[in-house]
Amino acid sequence: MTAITSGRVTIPAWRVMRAAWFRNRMTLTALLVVFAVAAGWTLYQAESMRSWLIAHHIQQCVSPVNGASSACQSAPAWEGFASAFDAYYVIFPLLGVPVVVAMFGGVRWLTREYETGSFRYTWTLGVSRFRWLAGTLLPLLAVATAGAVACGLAYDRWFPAGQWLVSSSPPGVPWEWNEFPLTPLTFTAFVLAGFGIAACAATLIRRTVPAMAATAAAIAVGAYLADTRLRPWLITLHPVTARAEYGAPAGGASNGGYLLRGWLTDHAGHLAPGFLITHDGGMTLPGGQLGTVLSTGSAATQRAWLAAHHYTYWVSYQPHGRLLVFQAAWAGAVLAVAIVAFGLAIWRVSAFR
Amino acid sequence: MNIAAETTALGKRYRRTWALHDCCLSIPAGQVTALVGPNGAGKTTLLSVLAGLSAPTTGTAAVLGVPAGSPRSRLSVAFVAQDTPVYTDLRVRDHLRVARDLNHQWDQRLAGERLAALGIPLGRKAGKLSGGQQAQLALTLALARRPGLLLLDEPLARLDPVARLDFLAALVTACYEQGISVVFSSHVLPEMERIAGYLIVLSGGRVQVAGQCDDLLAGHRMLTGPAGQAGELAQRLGAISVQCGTRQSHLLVRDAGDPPPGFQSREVTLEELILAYLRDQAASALPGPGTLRAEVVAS
Repeated sequence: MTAITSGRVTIPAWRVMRAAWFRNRMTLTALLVVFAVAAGWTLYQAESMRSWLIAHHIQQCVSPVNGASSACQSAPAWEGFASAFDAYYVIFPLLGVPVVVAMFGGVRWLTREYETGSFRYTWTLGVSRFRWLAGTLLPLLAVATAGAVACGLAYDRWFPAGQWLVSSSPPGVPWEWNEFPLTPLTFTAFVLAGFGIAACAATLIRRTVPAMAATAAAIAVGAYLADTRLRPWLITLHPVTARAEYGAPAGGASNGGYLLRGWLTDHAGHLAPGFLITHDGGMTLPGGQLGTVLSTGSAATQRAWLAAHHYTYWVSYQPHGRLLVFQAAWAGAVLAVAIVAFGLAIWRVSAFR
Repeated sequence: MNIAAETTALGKRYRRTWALHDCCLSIPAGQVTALVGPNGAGKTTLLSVLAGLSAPTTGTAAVLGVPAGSPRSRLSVAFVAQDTPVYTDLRVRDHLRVARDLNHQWDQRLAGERLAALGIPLGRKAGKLSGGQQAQLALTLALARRPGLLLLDEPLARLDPVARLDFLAALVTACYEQGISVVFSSHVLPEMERIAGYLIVLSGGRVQVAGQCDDLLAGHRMLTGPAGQAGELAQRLGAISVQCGTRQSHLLVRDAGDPPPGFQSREVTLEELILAYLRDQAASALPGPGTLRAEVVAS
């Protein structure tokens, strides 16, 4: 038999990636444009807000320390600020970016190989399917990561002012659903997971439009679960329990912390029944004299009454410094989904027989 | 004889359907092998297995001495799939760049000269090329890899007659100049006859005929004589095909020496031979140890 006698079996990765650049440069360029527009719009909004705050002499409130002060909390200029800007003009476009780039950048580059039949050309060249897929993915993921970080940094710039429009979080700390997944770390994980889901859908479905629809649906469901299940669950892990001053900002959680709940104990250390403050600021009051006192009067009066009757106010909360840990854990879980999705896509391409 | 590709008891099943079954072949190196069969015969499946796009369900397939689909087989096997897929959104120039980066061997000069000779502009997107030009581009991309084995799956299907001739001429020239082995599937039988040195007929996922074209042609005769005697003669000689008119009949038989009284004998064409076997899928002509073995079942 005529035999193959020589030849290097492995093609260098940089050559595969260079080929991927030629093959997907329009997609890559389009992705860059999407990220640039999203980041640019966010920055524009951030600077517009800062200019407005400077013009109305409340720019100092964007810092976490000053923002918690009663002067900032009750500044009348905020009403004009709320009517001049809409936070969701920034938040919703940013939340949509992972979906858009996954649908149009993550699905199409793979489904077109199936739809045009060019995979029969591509997969019979000198490079293995795994290396081809990896070589094609890496430039796309590099662009997606860079773009996501840029958007996250733009959001970080926007957030200190923008959060006054929507947030119930303490100033400067993005704990809530519409803030938490948009920082550089979490947003990058969000985008990469979207790409993983897109690659998975493309290899399983192999048709552009159905794969796009499946990608959008899967990302929407995943984002919903990550924000309404994973984030709240993570934030309840290992909370700090401490005495606090009743009626203090942020429910009595330490500066920038996230209040999980607040409760009262009597002189014997027993829980005062019927009283509870929840993380969203909701308060349940008991009946009787305690409930009457806590529903009327100023915070100072209430504190004095509680002290006189030997009540102690306790809070369970997450300190400000743990935010990064929770964001890393959230991002890790979302990236695990991305890795599983990419693994499934690679397996599917390699095993496509 | 050098072997370009070899299969042993090769079978390929898609869900419950066997596209190939118990397929044993030794495809010679250094010549054009024609792969013929009706739709659904398993031609594309066989080529996909040899190209490494599909894995066998049973048996083995080897190309140029290594397992089909293995990393080493990709070094020297080029495949031009049905409809000659290329990247329609890429310019011809970029096709060359991508192919150069994704292949171990790449002859940029050959590719450039060939495209220039064919008048295919490098700056044009592949999707804007005619069907013939796209096929020539796909063939150029395959030839510039300097393959030892070139697999072509119905590349003539979309081409007009002139483009077909140009394509085949280019193929034969490249085959002889570069010394590559070619396996070529097509429904266009007259063109096959011009270029094929070895013939494989697939039918129902099985190998029906395999052999050197010269041997197959020398081993068969076409008998023409009175229609009245055709039935008895076909039975006696084990005719592969019988075509009867009102007065005359034509019988394709294995070479049976002198023609019977009243019948004239002549050589068969490859097209007649192929059509006869395609009409009678129970008949087969397969190579045995050292000789051509013909098992003919009377029709």
